[in-house]
Amino acid sequence: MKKSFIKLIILLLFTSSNSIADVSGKVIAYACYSCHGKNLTNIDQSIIVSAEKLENTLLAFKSNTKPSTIMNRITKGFSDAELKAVAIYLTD
Amino acid sequence: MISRRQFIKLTSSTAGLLVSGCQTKLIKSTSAHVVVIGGGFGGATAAKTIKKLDPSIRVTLIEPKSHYVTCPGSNWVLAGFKSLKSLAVSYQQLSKKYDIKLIHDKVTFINPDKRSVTLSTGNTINYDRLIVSPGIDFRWDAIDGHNQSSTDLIPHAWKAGVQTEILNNQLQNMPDGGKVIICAPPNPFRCPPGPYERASLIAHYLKRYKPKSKIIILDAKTQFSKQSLFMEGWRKHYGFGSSNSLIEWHSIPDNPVVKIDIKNKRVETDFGDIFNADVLNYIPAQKAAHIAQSSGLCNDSGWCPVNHKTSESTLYQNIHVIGDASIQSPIPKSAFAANAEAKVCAFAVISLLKEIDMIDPVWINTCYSLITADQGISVAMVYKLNPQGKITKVKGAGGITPNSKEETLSLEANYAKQWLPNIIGDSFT
Repeated sequence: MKKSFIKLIILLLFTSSNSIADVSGKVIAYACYSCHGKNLTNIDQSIIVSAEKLENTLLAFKSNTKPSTIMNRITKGFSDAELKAVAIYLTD
Repeated sequence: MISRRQFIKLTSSTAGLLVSGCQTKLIKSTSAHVVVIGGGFGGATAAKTIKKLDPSIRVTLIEPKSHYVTCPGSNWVLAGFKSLKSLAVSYQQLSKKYDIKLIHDKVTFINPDKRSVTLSTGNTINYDRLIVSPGIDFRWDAIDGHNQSSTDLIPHAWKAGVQTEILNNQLQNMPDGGKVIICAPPNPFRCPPGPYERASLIAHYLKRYKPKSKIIILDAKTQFSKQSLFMEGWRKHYGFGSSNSLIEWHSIPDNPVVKIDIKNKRVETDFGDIFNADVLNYIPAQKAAHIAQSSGLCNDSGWCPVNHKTSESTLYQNIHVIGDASIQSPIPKSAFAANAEAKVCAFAVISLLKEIDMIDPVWINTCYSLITADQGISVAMVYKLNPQGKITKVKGAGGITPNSKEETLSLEANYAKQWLPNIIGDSFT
């Protein structure tokens, strides 16, 4: 129990950047709304069912494995951690 | 067993506690008053975003007009894709939904020392922070024979509404074989691809109804936004480069238009070249709107210098300037950019009011233009702050439409049409 608590603390310290990423997720999300609207209505809804699925889609745009007209250009402006953060925020 | 999402929530909130534990300042609950001047894309978005992020802040939006007609989409009116009416937005929903106090009046004076603005009625309103998003004015001194009072004959149509209607009526009444002259302004100006989208969509109209006509763009610049894409589209659809092209582009930076004969719709260049028009769309050189000039928020360039992170004026404290009036280059002057700048400004204003650290901002800008009813192009960019605190393009991001395949341009046109109601919704409702 004690061991796992220490593990958790260590984990928290190393993942504390998540708190920054989580906040920036909000800032990035606000930028997304300009095209997609608050309810992301013009996005394939099956993509936004989970953070993981959205993150993977954004990463696929970034690496050009998923072709598009615009999202390949936009996602390249963000780190993988930022794309993860915005995926979490938008699916929360 | 906790889910991944719960875990991230747990870690981030705990980490948040750890971080805030290190801070000496307490997060203030605020009943501060933020006043926003100008109800365009910048002002409306700023007012809305502040209320969304912190409903305890009082927000007052001051805008003379009861409705706003969006500039995006106003070129589409000229091709008959949109009615001008459909571009009009009311402020009622914004005001009600977010509890924003709306004042339909004009600000005549800003007093940075007293932190107050004076309205044309003489009333004075105090602010804790002021957001100025007044848009543009024109530099009439750059031209001889034409000014504000003759725009009912020579429309600029660079502020949407009545001006768009005048230009549209003139085009409708022009005989086949007529000549349309668009005088494109020097940099920097509102909506860099705008004059060229306008040429495209007037050509779209003329091709169908008045095919013997011609559009001549007299340009104060040597190059323009999305030039290769526009020219490719013009070649494909409007005979650009051939002897009977619907569009001609004349780049005359060293021989600019200096004089307009309003009655005869005739323009004269510095070297004395004469161009006669049936419809003359002179888009003047631009500067920040009057209230920014008269309040001393502009530098010698005629635009408002700001701290890029917070958009706070570098000339006056507690006043933020966003949108076309502000200098946030390399971000262009566009509705999309004003919306993006407004959001960053809202985050900044709240951080400053609460005396907490501001998170790193990010801006996205995408400019869509239509070449025909179903062929579109775009340019996009993501911007962040560099270590010196200046807005910088993110390397490797952004760029123009990836290829000129018909299906790509067709998708771009679809996205352009979807984008407009979304950004209007995101800014005004």
